[in-house]
Amino acid sequence: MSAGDEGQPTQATAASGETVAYRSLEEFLAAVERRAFRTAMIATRQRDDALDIVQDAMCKLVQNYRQRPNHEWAPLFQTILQSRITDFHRRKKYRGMIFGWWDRRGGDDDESPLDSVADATQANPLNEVNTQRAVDALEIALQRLPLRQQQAFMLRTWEGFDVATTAQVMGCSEGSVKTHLSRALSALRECLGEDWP
Amino acid sequence: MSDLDERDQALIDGARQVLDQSAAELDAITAQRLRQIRREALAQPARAHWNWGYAGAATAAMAVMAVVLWPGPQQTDATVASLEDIELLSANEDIEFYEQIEFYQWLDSDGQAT
Repeated sequence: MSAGDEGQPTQATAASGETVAYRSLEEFLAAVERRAFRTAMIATRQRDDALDIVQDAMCKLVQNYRQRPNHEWAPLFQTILQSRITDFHRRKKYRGMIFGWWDRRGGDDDESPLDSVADATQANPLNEVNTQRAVDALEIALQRLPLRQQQAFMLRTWEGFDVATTAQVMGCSEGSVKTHLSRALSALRECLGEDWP
Repeated sequence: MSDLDERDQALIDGARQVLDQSAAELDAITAQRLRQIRREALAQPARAHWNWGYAGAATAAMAVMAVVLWPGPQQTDATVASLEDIELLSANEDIEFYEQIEFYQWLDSDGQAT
């Protein structure tokens, strides 16, 4: 463990807007790894791709930024994570442009996102069913958002970053963050309905 | 997020709660894989960063050394002198011949003139 990993806990803004102190890089990564995976999973819809993205982000943070002050880890990690997600979508777009004609020949596997919503009639306890339905519905609604709106929503609401930090992570202006978030909330309200969750 | 109305705030609170729950209830295989990824990442050495201060000092030292050690004109003279010495040492003529070489050179030029 290097010198920058240990020492007095430093206040850092983390999940859900709470202020959390991390004593070590390991503690920080342990605290964010599941949220990072869920974020990448929602963005990519592929478990293996999501794990790869989380792995890349963790490795780069450790290699390049472990000596940085603890309170910088969260925005740095999110910057790397969101950059990797953007790269994934860029590669997917180019791949689609090149191989799109071939994929269209298959044609019959374009499953609707709603098909993966949990069936409320299955024999689980009622609470679990309702919870799972709420999760599934939210994930589908988030996946339908344009990437930038999705990023603004996740960073502002789940990671608890303020507008300035979100703008820094996304590499855009604060005004753009507000616009993306406003549009995301509007689209989510429309998709999920007033009664959700 | 004080600029949000009540409906937005309710949606955000609900989304946060649902997302927290989904992260907490990850399947065991994925959770195990994430722990493994974390351990592997932490086991990596930190990448060495360039220290521009040291790099600048090293460059300046190399420049000074190059200037000091660069072979100048005096080095060439010394080399020529050494070659002449070697020629003298390896010659068969008696040393007295070289002591009076100026006389012989004058005699030679005088003879050519006459």
